[in-house]
Amino acid sequence: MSVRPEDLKDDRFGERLKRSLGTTPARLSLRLERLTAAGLRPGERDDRSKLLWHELGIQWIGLGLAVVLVLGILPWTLTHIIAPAIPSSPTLLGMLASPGSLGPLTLPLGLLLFVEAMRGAPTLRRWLR
Amino acid sequence: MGDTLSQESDPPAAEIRALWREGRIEEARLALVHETQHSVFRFLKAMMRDEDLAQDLAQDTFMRAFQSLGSFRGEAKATTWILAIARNLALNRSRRLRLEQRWQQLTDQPPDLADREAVPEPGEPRLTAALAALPSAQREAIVLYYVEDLGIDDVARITGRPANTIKSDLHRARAALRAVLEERQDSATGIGERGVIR
Repeated sequence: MSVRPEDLKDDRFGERLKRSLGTTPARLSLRLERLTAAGLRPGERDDRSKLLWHELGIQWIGLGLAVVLVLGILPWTLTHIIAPAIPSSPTLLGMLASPGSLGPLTLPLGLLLFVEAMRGAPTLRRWLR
Repeated sequence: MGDTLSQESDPPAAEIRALWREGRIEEARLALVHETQHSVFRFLKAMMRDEDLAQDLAQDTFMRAFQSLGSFRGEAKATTWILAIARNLALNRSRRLRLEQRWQQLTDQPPDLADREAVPEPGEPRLTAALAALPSAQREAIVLYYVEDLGIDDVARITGRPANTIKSDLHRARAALRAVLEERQDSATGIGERGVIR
């Protein structure tokens, strides 16, 4: 609601004031129009109507994929790449190839994945691009 | 800054909001510029009494507005929302200029007298000079009310002063300006320091 009392009504006075203050100089207008692109990539669209759960969903899918990828690759890497490089010892090989050997890695990996997920999985997105 | 300034919605504000929500950020910013640039410039020119400073601050105002466009819900007029940003920036700049002037006095450097001259205005120099001579509270009230056509409630919200104070400021300012305009003699009018809001 806009309150404009009758006793203060004076359109002519307002017009005169407006005229005396002038309008935006053309150079400033141009500068302001150029500023509208500041910080945006050409043609970039950033749809703000997306719901929060949509954004979070993508992040959690990213996190899930990262976990599956790591859990899938790690035993294979241990068996086929790391183990042959180590002098053959059945006990050592058994320890490396067994799922139990992943135990000490759980905490650092979990932390890394958690940070990645909280940042919106940028590394994963970069890989997928 | 949220737009809790008014419950009234206007079509340009709704359009800006819709563009932003669709992710057409550049178009939303452009619509804001087209809708409000003259108001922002006029307000800052009246408050700072210096066209260069007004231009500089107008640019800062739009940069700040672009950053917080997401918090603009389109319920208030776009002009009301952006003028509140412009006012904050103008007050901050004015405080800084005042400190710089004090520093200049302390270091015994004579102020630049040429820079304190009134800016000659092409249209109505006497009116502009009289406006510049008003106390800042009256000046901002008169510009927001008569030039930007805002309601008393919006002016009160932007300036943070009670509506009754705004009304009496408007009456006083209008009387002072009318007195100057009715004077036939083109006497020199005292003008405050440019860039410093008093």
